[in-house]
Amino acid sequence: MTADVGDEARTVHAPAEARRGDASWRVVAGQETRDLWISGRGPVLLFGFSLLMSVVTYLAASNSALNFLEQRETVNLAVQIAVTVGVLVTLIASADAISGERERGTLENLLLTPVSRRAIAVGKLTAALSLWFAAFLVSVPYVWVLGRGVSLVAEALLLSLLVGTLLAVGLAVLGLLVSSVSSSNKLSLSVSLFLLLALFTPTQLPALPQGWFGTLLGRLNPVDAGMNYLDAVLVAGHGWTADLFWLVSPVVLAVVAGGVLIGPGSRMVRLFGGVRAR
Amino acid sequence: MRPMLPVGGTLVALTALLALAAPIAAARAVAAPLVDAIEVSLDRSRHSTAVGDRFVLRSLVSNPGPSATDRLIAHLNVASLTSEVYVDPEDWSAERTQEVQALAPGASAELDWELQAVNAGSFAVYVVVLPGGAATAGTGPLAVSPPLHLRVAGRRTLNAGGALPVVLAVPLLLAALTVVARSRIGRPG
Repeated sequence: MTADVGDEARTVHAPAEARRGDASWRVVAGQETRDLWISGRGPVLLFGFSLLMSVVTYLAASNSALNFLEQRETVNLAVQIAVTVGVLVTLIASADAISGERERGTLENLLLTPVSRRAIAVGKLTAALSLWFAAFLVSVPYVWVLGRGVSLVAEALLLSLLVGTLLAVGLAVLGLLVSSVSSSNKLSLSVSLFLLLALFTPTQLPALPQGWFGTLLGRLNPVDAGMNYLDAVLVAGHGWTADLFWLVSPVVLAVVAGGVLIGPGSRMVRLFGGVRAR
Repeated sequence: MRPMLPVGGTLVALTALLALAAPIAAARAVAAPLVDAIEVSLDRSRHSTAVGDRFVLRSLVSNPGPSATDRLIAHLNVASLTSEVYVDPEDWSAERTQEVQALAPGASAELDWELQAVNAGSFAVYVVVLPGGAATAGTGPLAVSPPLHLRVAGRRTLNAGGALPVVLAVPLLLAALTVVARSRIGRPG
């Protein structure tokens, strides 16, 4: 929660619902989401995302030389951009969630509210994930324009939602963890962006036959594996169940992320940064 | 005076020459022209479809000759009959090369080719059979099927005009929502 919401908002909104235990994360999530979408940078990020999707869609649509398969590849490209940028903005929001509050001097106030630290972490994660779901909604008309001619709209959207949600959940928790241990917000954002870049780079390598080590790395990297799954279904036309092995690492990442939130999630929200800080 | 080549030496030289020439002669004997030994046919000569549709083409590789063939390689190709359409055969079929085991005299092998029409236009699809054995590889001429004349009807829905409403409306709508939300927050009271 940002400083402009103020202590009043927390003391007014939080206690009534927060004392009900489990529901307190919803209070935090609601407040964080309002901060992100009404006074924060959510709409600006989404506007930038829509501009990018518009440019890609127009370039693809105005290329009359595209054959049927290349149109399928274009749908895949649009979906991959939606997933990558959607996950990127989610990661930015989560990487700012704790270190940003700490740097703006609002974390102390937040810790004084009668809300558990785990609820704060879950609430912040939920708010960050709202960016991904918003990016997904924005991508729907673009995927419809590109995919209707090749009967790929429903399939592309469902796959985008599935792969994007798995990656967004996993990487958002990773962003929260980085934010938790970072001594400054700049460091948290830099490390998170570097991590995303490192995970994303292999997806741009040419699709050449690889040795066992390359194949293993591709399957272990959740971003690369997720994109390969999209590729297999949307471009190669494989069935949904034919290449499920590609989804193993995104699913494992999301499950581990859930475990981190349930387990050491309470220790993620700390007044001081650093690995040993309490 | 030049020394005479001994008779023994001449025999050794001749034997060596024969030994070197023997494999070449043997290879020439096996590598009978493929076009005489193999026949390739397709299950149809014309086919009409639409962009995006898949179909299976069946080819028959037979050996009507009196001797067995070597291992063979069958390859599918797609060629555009108009200069405006560029064809990348890899887009049309994921598996364009198949191996055919050696065919005994009178034997034949059926090969199925799954294709997806990715361009609109008029095309020729044919199967070419090449010798693939170690001894016969690189010899020719090749055996080719008669071409299938393929007509693909266009079904293009992706165009700049159709995409323009979405391309313009979505960012404008988001910009308007952002401005409205910001102005409400900025308004006092």
